[in-house]
Amino acid sequence: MCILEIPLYLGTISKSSCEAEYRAIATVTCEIQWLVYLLQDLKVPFEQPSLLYCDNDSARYITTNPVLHEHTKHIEIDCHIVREKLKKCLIHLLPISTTEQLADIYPKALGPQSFKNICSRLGLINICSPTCGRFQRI
Amino acid sequence: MGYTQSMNDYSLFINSSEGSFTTLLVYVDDIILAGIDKEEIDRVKEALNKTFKIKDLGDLRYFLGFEVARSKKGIMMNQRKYALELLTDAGLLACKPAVTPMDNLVKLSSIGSVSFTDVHVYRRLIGRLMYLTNTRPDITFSVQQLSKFLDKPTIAHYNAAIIILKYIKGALSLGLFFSSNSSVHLKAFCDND
Repeated sequence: MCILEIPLYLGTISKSSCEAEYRAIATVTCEIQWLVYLLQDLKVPFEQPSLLYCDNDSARYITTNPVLHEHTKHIEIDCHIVREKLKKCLIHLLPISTTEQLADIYPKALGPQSFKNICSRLGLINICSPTCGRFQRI
Repeated sequence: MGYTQSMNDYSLFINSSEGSFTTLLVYVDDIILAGIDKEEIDRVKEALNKTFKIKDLGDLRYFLGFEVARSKKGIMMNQRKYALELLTDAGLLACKPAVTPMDNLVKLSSIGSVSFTDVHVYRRLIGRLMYLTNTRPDITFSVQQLSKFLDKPTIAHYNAAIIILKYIKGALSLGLFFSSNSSVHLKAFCDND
């Protein structure tokens, strides 16, 4: 089962991309927590911990390293839910290369090649065979 | 009836006892029943029928615009009919399909183009596309981008919406597939722009 989430923080301003990424991780963590509750409600057996892939190294380091960095102290306290959930083994943070990043489809418009590639890996399937053989290039 | 409301999804009701587990998903007057105990499901149907007069549509096939197809391999969910209606209403049934829902070179902005006068048409179109994103994560980004200009759309935005429709035309029955033999393991991918 694959769950993808990409929070776009249009309303907030982050001073560094690292902070933005960290905020995104916090939002995704909340979402994972909700899904875990829901799965428990439905009595669905599932593997734990959930895996969270993030391509930003520094954001990942903040979650594991409790030493407060000069910049990170400005990150609001609610963002540190990530650390708590990490300790409780709800999530497991993993690095991912940009080419493997499935969430790439959410924050930007992609070219046809990478778009198709990600689509098929998202679990998007066409049950009817494509009726249109020729595509128009936009 | 012995059902408790789930605190994690308020429209979900669960009845669990030994050897029986039944869930009830309610949307206004549409209900999905799921469970492992056929007798319990029949009992709920009867109880509901006594009070409300329900119409039993049998196995789950169509719910709120979602088409559900089941096989041994898994469950397929798409909004083919909904997408088709969208194209019919826009008069684009015979259009040439596009490869991607959005041109990756065009940058949309709120200024610089002639404003689109039929604001309601634009808003309705985007609203309907938003509902389509439930089973179509591929158009999520383009719809989200266009939804930023709901108050003052320009011709450029409307044209971009038409490209999304053209893309949908190319892959009408695209939908989410949930394989029955894959293990349930949450995987999240996080990125920011």
